[in-house]
Amino acid sequence: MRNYFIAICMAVAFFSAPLHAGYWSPISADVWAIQEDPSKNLKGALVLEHRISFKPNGIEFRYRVRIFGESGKSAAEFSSFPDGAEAFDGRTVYPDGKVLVFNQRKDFATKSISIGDSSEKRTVVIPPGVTGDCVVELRWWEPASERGKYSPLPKRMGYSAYLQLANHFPTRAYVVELPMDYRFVQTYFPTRSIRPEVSTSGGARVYTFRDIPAMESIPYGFETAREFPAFSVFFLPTDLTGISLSDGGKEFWTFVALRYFKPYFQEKAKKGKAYTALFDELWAGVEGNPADQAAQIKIRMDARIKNLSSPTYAEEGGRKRDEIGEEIKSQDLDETARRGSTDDSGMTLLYLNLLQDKGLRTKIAMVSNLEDRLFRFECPNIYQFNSELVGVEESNGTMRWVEPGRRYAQPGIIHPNYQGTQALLIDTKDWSVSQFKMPIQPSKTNLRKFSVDIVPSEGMDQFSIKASFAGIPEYYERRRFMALEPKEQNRTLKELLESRLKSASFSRVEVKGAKDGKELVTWEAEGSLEREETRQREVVPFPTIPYAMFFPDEWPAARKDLILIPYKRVQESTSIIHVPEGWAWDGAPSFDHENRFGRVQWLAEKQEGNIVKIVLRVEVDSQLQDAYSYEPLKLFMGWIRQASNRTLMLKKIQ
Amino acid sequence: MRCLSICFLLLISLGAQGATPPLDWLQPLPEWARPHVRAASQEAPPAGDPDAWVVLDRTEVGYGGANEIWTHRYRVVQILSERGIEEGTFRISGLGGKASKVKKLKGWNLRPNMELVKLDQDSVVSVEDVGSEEFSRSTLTAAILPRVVKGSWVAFESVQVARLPFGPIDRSQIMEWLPIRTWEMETGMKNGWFSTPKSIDIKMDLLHFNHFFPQAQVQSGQSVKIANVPALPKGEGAHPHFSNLLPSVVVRFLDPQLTEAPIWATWDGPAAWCAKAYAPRIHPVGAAPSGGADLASLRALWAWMGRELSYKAVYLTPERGWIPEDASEVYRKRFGDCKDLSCFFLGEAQGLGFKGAPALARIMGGRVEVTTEPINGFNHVIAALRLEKSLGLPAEVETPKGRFLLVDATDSFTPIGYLGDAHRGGNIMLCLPDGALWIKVPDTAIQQRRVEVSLEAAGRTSGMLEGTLTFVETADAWGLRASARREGKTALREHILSRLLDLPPTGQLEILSFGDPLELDHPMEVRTRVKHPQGLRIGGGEVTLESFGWRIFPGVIQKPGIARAYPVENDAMETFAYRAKVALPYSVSPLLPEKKAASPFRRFSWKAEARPEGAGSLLTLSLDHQSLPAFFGYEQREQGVQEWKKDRSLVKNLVNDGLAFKIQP
Repeated sequence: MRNYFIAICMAVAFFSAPLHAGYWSPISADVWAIQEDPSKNLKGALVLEHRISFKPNGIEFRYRVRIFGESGKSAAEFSSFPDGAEAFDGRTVYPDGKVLVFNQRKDFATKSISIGDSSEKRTVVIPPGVTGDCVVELRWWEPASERGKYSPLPKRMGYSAYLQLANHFPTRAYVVELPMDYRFVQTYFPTRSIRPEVSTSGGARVYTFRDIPAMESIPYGFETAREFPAFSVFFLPTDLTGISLSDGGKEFWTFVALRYFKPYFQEKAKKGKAYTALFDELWAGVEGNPADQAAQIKIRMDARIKNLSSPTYAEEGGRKRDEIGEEIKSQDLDETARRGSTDDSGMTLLYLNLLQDKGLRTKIAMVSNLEDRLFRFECPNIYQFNSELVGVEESNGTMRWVEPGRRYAQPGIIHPNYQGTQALLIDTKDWSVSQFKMPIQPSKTNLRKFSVDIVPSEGMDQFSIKASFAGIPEYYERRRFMALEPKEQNRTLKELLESRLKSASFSRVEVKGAKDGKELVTWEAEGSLEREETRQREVVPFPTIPYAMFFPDEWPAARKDLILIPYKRVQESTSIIHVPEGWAWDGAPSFDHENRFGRVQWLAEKQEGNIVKIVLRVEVDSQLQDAYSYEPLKLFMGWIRQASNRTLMLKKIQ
Repeated sequence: MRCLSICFLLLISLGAQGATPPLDWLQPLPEWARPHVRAASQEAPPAGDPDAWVVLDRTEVGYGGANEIWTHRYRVVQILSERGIEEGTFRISGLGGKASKVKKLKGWNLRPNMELVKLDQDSVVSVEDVGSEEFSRSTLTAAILPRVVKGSWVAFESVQVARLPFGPIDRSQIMEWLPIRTWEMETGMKNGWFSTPKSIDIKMDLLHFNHFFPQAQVQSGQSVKIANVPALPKGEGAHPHFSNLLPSVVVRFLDPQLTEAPIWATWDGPAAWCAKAYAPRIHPVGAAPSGGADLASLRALWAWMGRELSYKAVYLTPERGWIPEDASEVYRKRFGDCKDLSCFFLGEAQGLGFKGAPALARIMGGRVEVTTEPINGFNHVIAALRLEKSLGLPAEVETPKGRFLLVDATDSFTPIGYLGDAHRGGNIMLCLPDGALWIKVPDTAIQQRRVEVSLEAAGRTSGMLEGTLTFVETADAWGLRASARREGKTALREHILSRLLDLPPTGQLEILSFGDPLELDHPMEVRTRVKHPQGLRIGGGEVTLESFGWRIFPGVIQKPGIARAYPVENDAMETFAYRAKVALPYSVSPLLPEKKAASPFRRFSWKAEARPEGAGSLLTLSLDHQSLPAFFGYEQREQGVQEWKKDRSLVKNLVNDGLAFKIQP
């Protein structure tokens, strides 16, 4: 009996991990001969093959890259492997024939990379032994949950996978293969110049896309809008298979809303006494028009219910042993009320039900994150969405949107990754659907405001800063601090400010309002700036204040991709400079430039009491522009830099 | 009433628990940690708002014979902030493979609610160390204690066994970014779980203790105990390298039976061992042009190596950190690290009729200290050729054992006969069969770093400045040669834009031409065309010119109001020359026609002329700038900070006034 058990275990192990050793072929001479060639856009690395093999019980990934320059080493950096990934089988091969084999997750090193101007970081893993002259070959297996009983896709993908078929370096062949009898629907999206070769091999259908250019990281670009082929597989429930798409998808989504979304959002939500008590508690004393009421409920709900999808350090550390790994029952609103916590899906369900049970008319916008994909109304994939926003009509007929799952985000803000994208709009009154473009919020919604007061003194400029935020900048600022206790918030701010200007040091900093979303985040800081004795006294009017836009390290000489400014915004900085005795200011010409991206103003004026007031206002009033606007973008960015770096020159009175 | 009483008693009891932990609260921690935690819990953490407090850091080092060092570590940390949670990860560096193994690793996390979480074996990971530019087989074992929170007491115990290729010698740094309540190191425990054989002589040397730990409790050769080790100061710049500054303890086990690795009794031990390890690998492979024992042949060999070989440190076994590749293998692979390239060079030179030896050095971070007792402070290998008669080269040194020519085989951008700036002031240990021969690198052997930037441009009233900007670089002073060699024009453009110039988004830079980076007879020239839309700043009756390529402005080395902890040192030695001819659309006169100045850190002379040309002026500008080495020790460190501030003002004035011109009415 015992032997029989072992035999079963071994069989399971063999079949569940279809990879085996000794897999890779020798590297041919023509691969080693690949070198940098600007005429072929070859720089640093060439991906020889990127293959994704869908199987009934998981996905096999295979990646082979020739690295021929230092700049190509990043071609062997991978996003962190998902938890379930296994059966790693890889090697780094050197021109002298030496081979370094690696076959475990722990063989990879990890590295953290900052992204753009937000406080987010991305973690990548790097195989061992990568040099500027080698070939890296890697494959791994990601099993489907419960061996594909419900979905042939891994758990993290659920019932849908969407692949944009490109890498950060040119790709010789991107191959997608699926069994002929694959359970899920598959569809591909070619480009004007890249169409797949479709063939069959060993019972699988093979799609080969050749010579895909590099998906380079470009400033103010977004990958999903670029012209690269894509491939999608997804589950289509049996009851949806016969629905016609000839009307562009209307009939399909109407059916889906009634058959799937209505039960999910409304009918299956479990409500009992605890929910009722919470309902009464949150609605007590709420007044105003429906949109204002909905906004108040979001703030109260955030303060009362912990969203454990974005925990604070204290919440994370305070979890009891038996709470770790416990499944959160998002649809059980009674339990949410009882425990005082849920996840982001649970927050959405709770919020929607709180509004509907009060009789507010709500709409749901189901959105796709443009960093991952764009929603396609005509595509019958019910798993295209990343999040849901709940809208309540304002008195002027527009909608005020709230994303309940986004912890402490102020009501009314729409995350930049959803603004301007297509969404599925559901009216919960009758669960009717329509295609909807998420609004692009005006610049004045997203505000960063800094007030600086400067007193030049002996060898130092003493200064204080008050900062306030609204909209997306407020959310980003909150993200920076919200997981930390107040003392750590202050310290984080101090370090951030001092890192921006090495000669500045801060004696007091205070972050306010970052803890629970009840009030907007603000902060104050007091510090001093060391200065040199020079012929003219140079005053930096906006010490440690960041640029209104993110500045990349390098601007490519030319551009062919769309320009996306993440969100429209206004940054307004005011500086009051107390001119010391014996010094005078002769004035400075104002600076006012405007183009299709917005306006940059720098104005200085003398005021009573030997005070100079400087206002720097940057308004970014454009979100999406074509590639022909690249020069105007650079010009606009140049104005921001120029105005932000202007200093005030004081002259000694003779 | 009864219920109320019980509730009241419960409240009292809970309240008491909050204020003072129960008497047996330390019980879940290992016995060795308890007295330290108990004592620390009755004290306030050190001032300075640390994220965590290392209550105990104790290392027991023993020798197991046959080059085997056992290290038993004990560490207890109190987590004081959310950021301090990172201290729940315990890291052990090792060489991986057969060289070192972690034999035991235990961890305890006593949370503020007295719940104990122990280290789960799944939380222990060994990863390749990616700290180095190229690949090595070093490993980092990290033990991550789960559920560490602010207020946790975290304890780790580990045993590591190492057989290091360079012998039974161990160096431990003491200070870290956190304060330490008790730091201890003990050797050869008699009653411990391991012991050191009696025939082994144990040496313990303390480096740089005098300033930091004059009160350390030391038992010669046996133990060191230091109380209240402060955290490393943050934010100080311009100080000597940590390896020459911070205290450390070196333990050597002198095993007379040892054959597989050097015995570090005197410097002669490692030197003779290196000579022996290199000897069989040094032989001519006939790759380079043939010739004789003369300078022309050496130059031909050097040129061949520069073009055909490249530097890469790819170590697939731990021993490779100390033992070179055979010369023929280097030739086959066409790359190698400093040992490999030195070995190859010595072999080919041998084919030309020269005899030579490897020499150990330290570059890019501190200098080797020639102490009475040997310590391992090397990180680089060069070659030394024995000369029967002088070749007339600057990098020749006369020693009691004859005349030698020093050659850094890794530095393909420095001509043979010179050493690169990284060796300035360094000590080099020649590894001869009969022992060590120390050489102090003479200043005359160093090829001076020199860059000349010349600008020929025209400015417009819009502020646009457009013209040609030329860099002329000696050696690889600003990294231009290395960029050009690596990826040609593309890398050069990226390097200039990211490191040397600060162009706005609308600025343009085009590489017009560049020289051969391996042509070492003369400086490399890079010609560029540059457009800067705000290259002229006009206002207040003045026009100010963009300071293209002026990389002379000193950074901030000390936060105002914070006492200096380290000495102040400037070890940069570079000559910078700037020549410009700029046509301006205004009639101007220079605000600073001439200036000569000096500080402990630099000297310079500046000249600016403006002569009428058309409706405007033609500027002729010239700057000759030399950075100077300077050192202010512990006693003079605050003076050093003040001198540095004065120096900043000096440079600021030069930049502000030198490049500003008064517009004539």
